[in-house]
Amino acid sequence: MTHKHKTKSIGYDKVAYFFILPFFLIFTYFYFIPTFKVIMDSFTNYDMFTTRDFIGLKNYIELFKDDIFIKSMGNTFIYTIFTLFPTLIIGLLIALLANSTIIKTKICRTLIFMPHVVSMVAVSMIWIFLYDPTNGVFNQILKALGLPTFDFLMDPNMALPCLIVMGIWKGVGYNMIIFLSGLKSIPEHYYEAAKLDGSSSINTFFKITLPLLSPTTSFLLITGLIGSFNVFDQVNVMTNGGPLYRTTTIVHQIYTAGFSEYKLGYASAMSVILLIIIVIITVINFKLTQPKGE
Amino acid sequence: MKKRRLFAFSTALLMVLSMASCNSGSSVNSKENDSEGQKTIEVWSRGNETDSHGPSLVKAFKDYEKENNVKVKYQFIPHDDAPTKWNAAFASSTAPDVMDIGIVHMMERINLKHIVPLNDYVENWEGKDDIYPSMLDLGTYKDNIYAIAHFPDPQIFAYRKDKFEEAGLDPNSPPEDWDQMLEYAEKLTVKDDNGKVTFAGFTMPTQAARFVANIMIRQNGSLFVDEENNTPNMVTKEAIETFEYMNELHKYTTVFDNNKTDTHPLINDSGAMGYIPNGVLSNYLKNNPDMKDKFGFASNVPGKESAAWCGVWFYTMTSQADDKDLAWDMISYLTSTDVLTNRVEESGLPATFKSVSDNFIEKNPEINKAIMDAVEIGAGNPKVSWATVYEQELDAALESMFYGEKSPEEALETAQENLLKETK
Repeated sequence: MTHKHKTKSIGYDKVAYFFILPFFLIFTYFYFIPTFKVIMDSFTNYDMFTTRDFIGLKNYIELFKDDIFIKSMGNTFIYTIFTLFPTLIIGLLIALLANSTIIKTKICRTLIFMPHVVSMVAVSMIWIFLYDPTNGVFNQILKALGLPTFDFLMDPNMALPCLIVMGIWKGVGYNMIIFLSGLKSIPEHYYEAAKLDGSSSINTFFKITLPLLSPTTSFLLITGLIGSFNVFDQVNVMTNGGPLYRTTTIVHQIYTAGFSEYKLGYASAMSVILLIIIVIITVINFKLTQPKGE
Repeated sequence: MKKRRLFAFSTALLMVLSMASCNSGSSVNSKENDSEGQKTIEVWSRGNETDSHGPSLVKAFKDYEKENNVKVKYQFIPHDDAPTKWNAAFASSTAPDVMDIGIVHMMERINLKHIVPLNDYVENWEGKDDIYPSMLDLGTYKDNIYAIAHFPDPQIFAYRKDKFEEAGLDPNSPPEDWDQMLEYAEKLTVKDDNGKVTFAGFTMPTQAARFVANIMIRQNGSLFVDEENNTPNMVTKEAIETFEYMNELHKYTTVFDNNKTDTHPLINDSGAMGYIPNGVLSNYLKNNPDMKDKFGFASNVPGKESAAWCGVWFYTMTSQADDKDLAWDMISYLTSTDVLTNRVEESGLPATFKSVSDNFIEKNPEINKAIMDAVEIGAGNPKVSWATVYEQELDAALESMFYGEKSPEEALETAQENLLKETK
């Protein structure tokens, strides 16, 4: 009887598995195999067309002597820290405002969410003109106010902060929407009970809202972290890693080594380092944000 | 029973879809002769059909089809996507027979063995004596002619006559040498109360200044590399002089990135003189006819020698060309006097052949004469197998000098060190 039941359930599963087979085939072919291929290539001098000889750990040894790659790691960490946390905090604050009666309008939410929908390349082109040292909008405003002007993207000390500001502007809307959906899912009676107990607004926020938003925060933190570590489009379009390599990032270095210099083996080694960093940070993040008792 | 049918149906559907996709993949890339024995040739050009070179090129393809009973499969590829598309095509053995590449792509395509030498064909080619020697040389590497230049894109020296007049300089005479150019740059520069340049006396790019460096090192009678031995040669007396001179000129510029040509100060009313790609300036003047009389032009301002940087578009035969003779026939047709004369007439673009240069100059003598003079003395990037890294290192060296991070000598030494590692 048990055997019959088991056979029946496998038969049923076969059809179900068949229907999800296309996804797994695509996943295996386009994601799973390439990941292993990149790891294999990182031990070769692969140049995309003519050579693919095994060279052991040479690429990794070279990487840690490569000043520009080390600089790109530093830039990526700075970009991640200064983009991710402000985006989360501002996104949450706007979500709280949008959830209250102060700016509870669809138009407001749409306007704040809009930058997220626009392609990064298009946004980057617009911000290039805003930041233009001679005719850019920001400098025109500063000039009109009688203030000194800046070189923005052409200034080694300002270029990365300029990218960070744009990154925050673009990411806030998405964070706001996700936080808003998290806020909507908190049962109203918690707040009613807190009110009856005489809890202040700030106390309610820290004792009820924030803890109940932790799954949302964790999700945004992990996806934001991965997104920030993969920052590339705006760097490639707006600064190409300059000036003085102050804005080059890990992915920008991967792209340059792989597709400008055709050092695919070397670029693969960089990709593996990036993969390891993201996996470590994601695991730590999971551990820290896991609800107590689980 | 129903589930079995569903399973069978789904399996069949998946197989049909797989077979259909395999089939379409092979037919799209087929360059075989059709059933009537008509040959097919595949040509890729950068840009798009509506660009200035597009219509005349399409007309040439159509005429070639009629005259030769050959089917021409042509494709325009956006500039930024071209290297990716080429790489994918060569990796999947679906590259075209003939493709148009830029001067910056030539060395990497030779290294990757994507393009083949044309010496045997060029030997008997009637255009050999008509093409400017400097242009034939641009497509040559180690005695092998890999590419035929057809569309020169030199950087020319342009200056604002009205600004010269305001500064008490002769508006009809560009500076004659480096010393005079530095002197003029100082006179033409406007600074604000904080000492920041608001109007550039000389437009020296802070980023991607390699184009200007490549012009000036030649004008100073040297090169940053030893082409013969395929080694870097950055730390020489001439190279240090060139860097020092560029650093002096940089004091009189507003900051800009030479890769973003639409922000060039000369076309944004914020610069008085400098080197600029001729196409960028020509387009600007076309859209702003009132500015035409305010500009003067020259091929270059010589140092010890005259020299100009000349970008160029090439036709090349790929290593995957099915019918090499047919591919060469197409290249020689596209670079024939008739086709290029038609292009000059229709689009006003310059060509690399003496027989059509007069037509081109006649169309707009003042600027076009400077363009053709620059073509005549034009040189491109050094021909070394590590040209891409050379460009990156040269830009990095110039940036570190302009931002005051390194002295000219230190900047050159760092570049030399990095390039030596690359050439090991």
